[in-house]
Amino acid sequence: MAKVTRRTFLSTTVGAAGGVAAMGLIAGPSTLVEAAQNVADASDGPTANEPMTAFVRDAATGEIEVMVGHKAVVTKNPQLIRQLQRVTR
Amino acid sequence: MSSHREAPGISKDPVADSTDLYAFTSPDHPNSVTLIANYIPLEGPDGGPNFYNFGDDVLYEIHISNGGGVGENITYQFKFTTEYTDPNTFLYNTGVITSLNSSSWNVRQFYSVTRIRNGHSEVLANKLACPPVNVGVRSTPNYHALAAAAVHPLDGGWVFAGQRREGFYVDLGSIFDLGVLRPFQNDHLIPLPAVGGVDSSKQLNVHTIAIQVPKTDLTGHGELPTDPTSADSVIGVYTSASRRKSTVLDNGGRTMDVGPWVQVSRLGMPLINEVVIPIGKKDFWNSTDPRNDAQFVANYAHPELAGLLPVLYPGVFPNLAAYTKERADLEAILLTGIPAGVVAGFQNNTGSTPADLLRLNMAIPPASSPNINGILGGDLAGFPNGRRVFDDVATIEIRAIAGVTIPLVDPSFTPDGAAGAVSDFSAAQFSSGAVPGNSRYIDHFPYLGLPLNGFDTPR
Repeated sequence: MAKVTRRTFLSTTVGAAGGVAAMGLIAGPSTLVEAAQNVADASDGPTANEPMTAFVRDAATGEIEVMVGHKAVVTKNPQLIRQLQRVTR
Repeated sequence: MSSHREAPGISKDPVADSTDLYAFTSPDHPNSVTLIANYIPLEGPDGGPNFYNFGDDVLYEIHISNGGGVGENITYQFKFTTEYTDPNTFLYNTGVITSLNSSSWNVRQFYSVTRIRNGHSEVLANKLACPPVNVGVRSTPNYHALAAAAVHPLDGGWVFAGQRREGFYVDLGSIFDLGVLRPFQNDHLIPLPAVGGVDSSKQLNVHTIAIQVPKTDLTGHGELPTDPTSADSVIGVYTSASRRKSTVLDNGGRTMDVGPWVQVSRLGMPLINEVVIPIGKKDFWNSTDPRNDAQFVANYAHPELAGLLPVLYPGVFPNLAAYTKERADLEAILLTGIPAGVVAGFQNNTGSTPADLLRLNMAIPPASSPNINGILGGDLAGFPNGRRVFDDVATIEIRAIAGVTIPLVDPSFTPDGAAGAVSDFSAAQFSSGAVPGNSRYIDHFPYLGLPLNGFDTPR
């Protein structure tokens, strides 16, 4: 935050009251949550850098739910699950 | 409360917790309907420094069926984004907020509105500004102007999203203390002297999404509804909140949301998930589509509360205690709408598919002298014909469950004398105006009063 004095505080307040505050002072998207959401909204299809999560729904049947963007795809891949299990041992 | 913290899961997720839904013919613009979906329960006006906001990671929706059916014909979607003017201060505002452009206002929310009509999606507005919360007399001294500036034109109507005063009134502390209604607690199983009710939400705010829509935008064929007997005059409404299916809490405080939207909260008629659906099904109910509510009909047919009333108030409800038939009255009022021929000059039926929808017959004109007891009070423009902001839905539903509406479908039944009198507030509290109280509502869009400010509230 910029240094605040009583004088600058009051001058900011008076300026705002006079309607001279500029929207240009407002920064663009400033949260990571928002940035992620904007990326997700921009496209329904996956891109190279887009986050992806995979949920092993049922290891016994090899069922995995893969989520990317606004999509969720259920697939079966017992081999991948076994690989993941080995990695996490 | 109507649907405040009503289920175990959503009680931990306030920004996605739908609290109340209203749908009514706008009294000052009778060719339009106002739809209001409230979120964030039990919102203390003094909740700084991180005052309440909508969730940037939540999809808020208002769903509408028309033509007297339950199919989803129109959906309004609302998505929010938060921006910090200065991320290097801990303050919500660094001076007086005098306008929606004030550089001293640090935490701003904007939103988009998208309408999906019969499968066709159209962005109606982008980057509409929410007002700030009502911080206090120094930060937001002219709050009325800030709130007014946040009412935006929208496709022939109006839209507003931001903090308002809580409109729903109830004695929360007594009702969930073994079903006590303070004015009648002398007759309770564990008796105390009768006293007036306590208005638990009197000093609370809420976050409101409100739209005012021309009626011709809501009917199936673009006609203005004028015939109360026509199915085309009836709409069914519910609101929902959804989150992305996968959330990863990453290192450094970062959050990543991925996957399709998943519904975590819904609301049509007040108090359904609160007191009709059992606790083991509440989270599941919130995740389901109202068109699949046939699976919950048993909870309406024999509601737990109807069985409890004769136990909690011994000797007061003998006729209700002896009534063992399915509650066809509640199924009609709450799940299918009231068919023609039950209440003279009225119907809001949407067919035989049970669904938790707030049903509004748009051809019924606004009442010149509204009765807060709605149709039970002879006012066809009030609940359960939609719901106005001031309707006393807690009293109406308690009386209905107590049996006062059974004769509508079963003339052989005589309601107990108490069924038409019970309420969580006394008659004197209503007649004096103490409940719901002054300044809780306004006579124009968005109809809920200005939010209470955090400096003066609570007192």
